[in-house]
Amino acid sequence: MESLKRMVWITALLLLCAPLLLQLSGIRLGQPLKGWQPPPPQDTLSWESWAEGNWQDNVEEQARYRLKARPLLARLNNQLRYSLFGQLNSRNVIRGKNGYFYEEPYIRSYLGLDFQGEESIAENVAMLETIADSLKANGSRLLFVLSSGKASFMPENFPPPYDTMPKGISNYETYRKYLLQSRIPTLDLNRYLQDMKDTASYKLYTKGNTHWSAYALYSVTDTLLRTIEQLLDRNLPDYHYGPVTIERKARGLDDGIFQSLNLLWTNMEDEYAYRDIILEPDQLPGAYRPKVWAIGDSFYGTLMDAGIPHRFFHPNSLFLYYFSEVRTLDGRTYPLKEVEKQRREIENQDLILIFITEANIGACCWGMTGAFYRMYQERNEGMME
Amino acid sequence: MVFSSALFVFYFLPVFLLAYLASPPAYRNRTALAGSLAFYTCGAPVFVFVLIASSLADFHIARRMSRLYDNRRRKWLWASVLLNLGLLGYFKYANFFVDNFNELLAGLGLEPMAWAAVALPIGISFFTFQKLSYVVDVYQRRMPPLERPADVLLYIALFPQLIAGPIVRYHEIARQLHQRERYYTLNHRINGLFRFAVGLAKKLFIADVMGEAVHQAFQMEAVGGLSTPEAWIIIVAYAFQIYFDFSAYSDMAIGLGKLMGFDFPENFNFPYISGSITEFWRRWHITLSKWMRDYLYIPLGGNRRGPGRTYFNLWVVFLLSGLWHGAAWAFVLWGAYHGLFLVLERLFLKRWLDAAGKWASIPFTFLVVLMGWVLFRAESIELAEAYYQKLFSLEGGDWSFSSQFWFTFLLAGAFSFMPTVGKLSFKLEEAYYSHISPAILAKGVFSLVILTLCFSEVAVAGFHPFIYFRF
Repeated sequence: MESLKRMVWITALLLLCAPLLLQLSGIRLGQPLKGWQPPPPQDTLSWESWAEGNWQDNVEEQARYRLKARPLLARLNNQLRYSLFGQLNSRNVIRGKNGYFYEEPYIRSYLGLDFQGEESIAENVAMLETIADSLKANGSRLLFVLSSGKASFMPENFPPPYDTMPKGISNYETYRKYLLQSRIPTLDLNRYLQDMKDTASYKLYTKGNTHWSAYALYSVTDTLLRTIEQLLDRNLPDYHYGPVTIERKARGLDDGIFQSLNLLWTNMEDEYAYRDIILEPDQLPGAYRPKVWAIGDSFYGTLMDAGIPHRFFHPNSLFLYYFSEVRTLDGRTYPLKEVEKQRREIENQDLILIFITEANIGACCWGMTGAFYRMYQERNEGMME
Repeated sequence: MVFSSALFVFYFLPVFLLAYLASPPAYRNRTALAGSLAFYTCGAPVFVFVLIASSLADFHIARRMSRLYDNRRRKWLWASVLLNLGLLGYFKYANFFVDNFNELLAGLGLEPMAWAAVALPIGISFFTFQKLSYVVDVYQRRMPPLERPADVLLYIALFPQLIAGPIVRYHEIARQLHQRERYYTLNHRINGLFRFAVGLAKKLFIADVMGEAVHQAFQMEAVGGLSTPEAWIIIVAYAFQIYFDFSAYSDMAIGLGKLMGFDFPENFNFPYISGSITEFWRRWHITLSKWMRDYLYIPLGGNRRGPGRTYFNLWVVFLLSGLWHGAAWAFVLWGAYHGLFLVLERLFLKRWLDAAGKWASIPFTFLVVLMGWVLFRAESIELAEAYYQKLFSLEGGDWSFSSQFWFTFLLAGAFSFMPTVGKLSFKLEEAYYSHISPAILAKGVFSLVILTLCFSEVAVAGFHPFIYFRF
């Protein structure tokens, strides 16, 4: 009994010292945490900051933030809260019915709780129309893609209180109305997936992701590429699909919301259908690949992750993520700072793709519309003079 | 630095513990003192000089007193009392008195007095009482004075109990300052670890969860929106929060003391099962009640000068006890309120409660305590008034609390009232304090699990200061 007690005591001491030892050794414990948290600001030590307690508060925050054992401990904590109380420790994530997770802004946007007002949307679309016309006059085209949204796709799984809230007019519906009335080429993938909902062979939205499923992604890719071909009146490289494989565990970020919960058990079991897009080999030499600037959100990011632009667009094509960060096809990332210089490049592109989902459409298009509209307005005024 | 902070749990505690365990017996006090001063300096770099200087003054006063046998002894005692209460009065109550004085001047249409607010040194209420305990015990020749200034400083500044108690009276710990081999055993250390783990868990998993809901409700703008059932649930939640917060700190302090070979007095004994307010104060903040009894109530004459004087003494003790808790009129009222019930119980209420039996007296006492907690939590008379109105307005309405809140609320309730029912609770309590090997082993293993869970909470949780740090 004494030796057992001694063993327990030594184990306890080791446990007490473990975080410190890990810190000293630099070994990080557990899978890295998903998602982003702003790092606590660094406060330099001064007599004033020490005496007033600011330095200590900062050191406390830093100590917690830099803790090597934090990933494992945070996952353990999140798992306990999730398993015992159903708590989700990820910003904006809520759990709907039948185990479907949502990001709250999508639901709010679908219900019209963030409605911008018809007038401002009409004005924005009018500016986009001017941009689209000007681009067309200069040999470039603009395609507005209304990306899909999980809330529109499956409102039947909303959790309380959203499940009983009356639906109001949404930004998406209003944008759609004005876009279809305008001369702006528009592709509504939201409606496209809703139309497929009852006939699709596999899930178009899985439980643990905000984004469409891999299977849905291949379907929308097909539609997107055909629309681009029609718009540009050029043939893009031909391709065919590989066989569908069904998996119970998600690949990559196909259960992205669930992974953002940072639990101990990170896989969300569901039906995940995967297939490859295979380019026809004889199409590769000399195939036409348009130069594309895609201004979009994470839904276009899923196309990037699946390598779609890499295979069908010119290698110099860019993804302007939220019109604030540039992502190149060879994996580089840099901030979009010099808009003045960048916007002159717009006419060197074959296609300007605006790719935006229902939760973000209220912010359309992150400053891009105003910037390009002013450019064309100034140019038109100059020509008049 | 609080015991539930990442700095303490992940850095200070392991470093200190390893250093202390590695120290030869002759050097353990030095390690403990160095750790304690580092602990206090980290949080209060300016006030550590106040702590050291006033402790050294008390060391010299006590030494001088112990060598005197005439009236000068009393003078030196008063010098120390004035010094310590003067410091407490200046740092803790000066702002309060100046604010009230300025309100009075404003009422008379006069210009307010210019005054730069004084910062409160953490733990001053607690270490002032320990310093007074030292000089009074030496004055009464209950214990001899300590030989070295470092020993006095160790008694005053010992970090587990430095800033939130338990208030360890000098005569309770004097011998342990140099002879604690008896408590420096493996069993004692495992028990200490267990108490620390239980305390940390009570703070993180019960008090903080209750505190979150209470904090949202106890705002002037939020009280109006509460329904009457919500207001009752919140005030009960606050009763649990303050009990589990404060007793958690005491558990951690006692546990850390045991890890170092000290045996600090218990501070709580299921206060909410009390059948009277008199009993409540024997179970709640026991070390404060004992201090007040030894160093205030008895010197005032206690109950030896007739019923009238006894009631007066009781009331004075509780008025001052209220003021000790905080420099605000709400605390003074809270103290007076408890004092009133103690007097009423001496007059007739205790007999009635005894006759009614525990199933009537316990709920009644709990209700009286709850009404007191409104004053205590509100901190302003206006907010307390609004809250009382809400409690008795019979406004219906919904309540919405999370499943975690309800789980914790019920768990806290079950723990708080456990001894009122059955033998199981008695057996659990027996195991809790047990020194037999299987129980010690079980507590050790339990501590490992609890500590792991606590670490996970500390690593992700926000900053949760202890309620009693203000006092």
